[in-house]
Amino acid sequence: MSLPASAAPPGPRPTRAQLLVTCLVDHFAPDAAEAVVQVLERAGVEVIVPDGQTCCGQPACNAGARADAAAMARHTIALLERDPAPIVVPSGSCTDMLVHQAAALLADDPAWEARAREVAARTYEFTQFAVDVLGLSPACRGAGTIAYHACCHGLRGLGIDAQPRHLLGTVDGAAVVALPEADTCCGFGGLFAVKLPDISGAMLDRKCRQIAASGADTIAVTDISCAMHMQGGLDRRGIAVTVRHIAEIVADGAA
Amino acid sequence: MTRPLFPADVRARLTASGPAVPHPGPFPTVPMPATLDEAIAQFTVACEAVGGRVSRVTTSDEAAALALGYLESPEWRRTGDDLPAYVAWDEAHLPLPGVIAGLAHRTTRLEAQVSRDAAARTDDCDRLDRAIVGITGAHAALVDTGSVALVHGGGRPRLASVLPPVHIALVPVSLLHMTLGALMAAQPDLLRGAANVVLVTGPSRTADIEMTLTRGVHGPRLVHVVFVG
Amino acid sequence: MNSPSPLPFYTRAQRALVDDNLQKALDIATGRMMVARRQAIGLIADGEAARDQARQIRAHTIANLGTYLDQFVANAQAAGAHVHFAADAEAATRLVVSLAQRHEVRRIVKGKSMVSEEVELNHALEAAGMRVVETDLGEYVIQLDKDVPSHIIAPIIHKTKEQVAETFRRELQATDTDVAGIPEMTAFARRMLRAEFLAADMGISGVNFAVADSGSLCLVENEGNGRLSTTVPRVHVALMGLERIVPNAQDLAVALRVLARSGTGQPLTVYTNMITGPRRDDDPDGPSDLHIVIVDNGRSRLLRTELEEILYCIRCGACLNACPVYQEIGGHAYGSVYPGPVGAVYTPGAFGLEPWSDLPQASSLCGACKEACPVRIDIPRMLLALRAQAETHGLTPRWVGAGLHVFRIAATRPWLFRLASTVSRLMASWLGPRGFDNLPGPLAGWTRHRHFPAMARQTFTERFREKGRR
Repeated sequence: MSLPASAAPPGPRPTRAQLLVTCLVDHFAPDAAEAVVQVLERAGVEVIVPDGQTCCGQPACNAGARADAAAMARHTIALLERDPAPIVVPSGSCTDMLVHQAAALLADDPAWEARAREVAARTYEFTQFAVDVLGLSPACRGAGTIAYHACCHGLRGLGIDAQPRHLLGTVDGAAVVALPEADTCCGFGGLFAVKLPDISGAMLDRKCRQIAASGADTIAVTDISCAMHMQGGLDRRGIAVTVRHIAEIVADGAA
Repeated sequence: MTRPLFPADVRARLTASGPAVPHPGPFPTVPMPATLDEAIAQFTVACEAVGGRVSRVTTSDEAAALALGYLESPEWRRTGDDLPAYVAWDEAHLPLPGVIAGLAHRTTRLEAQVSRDAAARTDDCDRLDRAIVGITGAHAALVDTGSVALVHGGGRPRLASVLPPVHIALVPVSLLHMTLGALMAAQPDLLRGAANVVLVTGPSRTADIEMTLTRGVHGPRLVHVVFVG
Repeated sequence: MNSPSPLPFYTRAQRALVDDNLQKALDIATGRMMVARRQAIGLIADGEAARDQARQIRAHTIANLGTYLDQFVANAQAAGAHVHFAADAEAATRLVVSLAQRHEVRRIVKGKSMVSEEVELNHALEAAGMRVVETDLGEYVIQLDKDVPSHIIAPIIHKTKEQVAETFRRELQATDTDVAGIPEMTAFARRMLRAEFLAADMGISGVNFAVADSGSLCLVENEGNGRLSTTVPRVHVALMGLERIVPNAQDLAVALRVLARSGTGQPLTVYTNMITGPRRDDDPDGPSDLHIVIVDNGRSRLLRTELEEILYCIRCGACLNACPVYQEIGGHAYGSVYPGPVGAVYTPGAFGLEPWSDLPQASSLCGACKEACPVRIDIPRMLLALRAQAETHGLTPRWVGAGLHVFRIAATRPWLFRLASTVSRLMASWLGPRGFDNLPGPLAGWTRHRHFPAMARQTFTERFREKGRR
């Protein structure tokens, strides 16, 4: 598998990292954050969890509530600035928020825009950090059949695709199969799923059919938001497939 | 001119300054294949992929025989016509002028001139609609898309390549260009020089109904590019 | 067409979701076009470079639109064309009607033109007593059915062949043989329309590109109806959007290199018509008069705004095919001539946000449109900008804005966020220890299609701190 040129900043491999847990992972999938910590610590990276974490403002940004989004972005940026260590986020959407959207939201305040860019420059989605920065190829072990679904903001916002596929390529004991239309949106889209639920539901339906057709019993993703949506759809349709954060699969195998 | 074309408010918006965006400059063109045979082979693949036919001839007899094959085929025959009819560009604009002579006696050549007068115009168009075959020259052939470029003008009627169900384009092999970009770069005044230039890339087609490809809609069902030389 | 349908967007979308014929047609059509596009762009070695070049050309042109329009107008006039300007839809239709009257036109054939759909030209011409016939096969069926197109380049993507056959039988007395299959129906339409072409006084077309340095119009098409409409009748009227300009013929070649490949997957459309003025003195055929109508209708208002980039669009339709929302609901639900992702930006941008504020919401912001766009238009960015405008102007549901505002108050005060977190987890563990299947209020939509998961009893942060870690 070919990897993109490393996005790692020149210099020594980091020994500390800040974990931006993200509110959804904190409240709905704490195991995913535990898994991130395990993987990083096994790679010799000390993980700190800055105090005062809430929400990065991504949902408000997507809804067009710019003032609210900017306020939450400022809050998040301020708490990540207290430490110079790189920032690891177990979510493509929240990473994209910090890396691309925050500076745009704060563009009318040059000082804050600069602070947003400084934080953006050392913010990484989990698989990006694991592969591009740490160069990990952990010897994972798994079971069953795993397929990868590419969450949109990671894939098209951040260009993440090779990294998670690389990590899954190292899983031992499990078969990794292709998911048809793996790069098609699952229909989550944040408030989209709540505001236009039937359109979102139709997209979800298609995704569930593809998942069922793939023969996988586990779907690996980089975003818990999409996982909640897909798992909720699979459960409702009685399809016995588990959607898991990729960090959990990586952590499992190497235990 | 009595008054400006654009009202003041529109003009103001059109000319409002923004960040400068430079023109990217010319786009590099794909190189031609090393040999003529390769170029023709590549053209043929592209043209056949879109449903066109490609031949290469050296004499007007060969070209005339090819045209007669279509003109006298029962597939295209029109009831009520004694001799099958065709319309063609003037001999001066065909790379093999002898083709027209080769078709005499067995076919009818239709006069291609369309009147500017409204009533006569309809009669002219009705007359031309009887043609089974249209024979044209070409200004260029594009290797990478299998297209022929038709530059219309005196002695080169537009309708010859669109009304009949069969279009035969005679193209000297010296007129091959790799891409449209290469043609435009070589001849920057091409568009200014004629009121009507058309690139033809295969036979007329539609996929409007259920995305199912059907060839031969309003234009020819059959396009045959005949390289000369 | 730039007045929204009486039904709200979401109601139209819900109807589309349960229309079996539409669902079947959309699956086939968008799937095929996506595959074709990927293959076609992938097939040429310089495909990605051509996209970059095309984007830069469009950006440069739009940044200097006034200069290039002036150049185009001067060159078109020098070639003998009459050039007109229409500020809005009403001016455009009035102008074309008066041109038709001045030329004593009774019969009109039309090639495919988005602008003419946009300004509802047919109604105006018919009201003035003229016979107007759409000649693109799809548009012809649409006209016979009094329907509206549902895709920029595949207008009857929403119809099955059985529905088309029924239309031909009902409206044109076609026999069973005439409609036995798709080739027979196509041949039947050819016969019907050939008579219309030969008898027409005026041909109306759209314009894909207008070349500034030669005053040329470029029209692309596959059927030949565009060629006939612009060649047989004695008068040709071309309607072009204000932004259709490219600087020169080499730039045109680049735009054409990506247009058809992105739209239908063809290397070039069958016909690429390049028209520079009316029939010249020694031309044996062609229209004696060429009128070019430059239509603004909201376009110039987008210049130098955060939506300016949508004017780069070359109308290939790739973003429609790539969009998972379009794939589910088709074009009609959008209610605009310009559906799909590009339409969700262009329609509210050019025609006004207030009546069209639903459209920018109709996206999961997945970015497939931007990825598919041959000129890499950042549609998601502009959807966000329009959502922000809608929010500012109070055009979004109040519960969304109010809810986010309350959320922000908590999210900028960690103590309050922790308190709210503890309370909601307590309530959730009490009300739904295994999650929820029937939530009330705004979340009812979620549980209609999916289970809502249980909240963690203990957050990750609490676990982490319990271990004494920072």
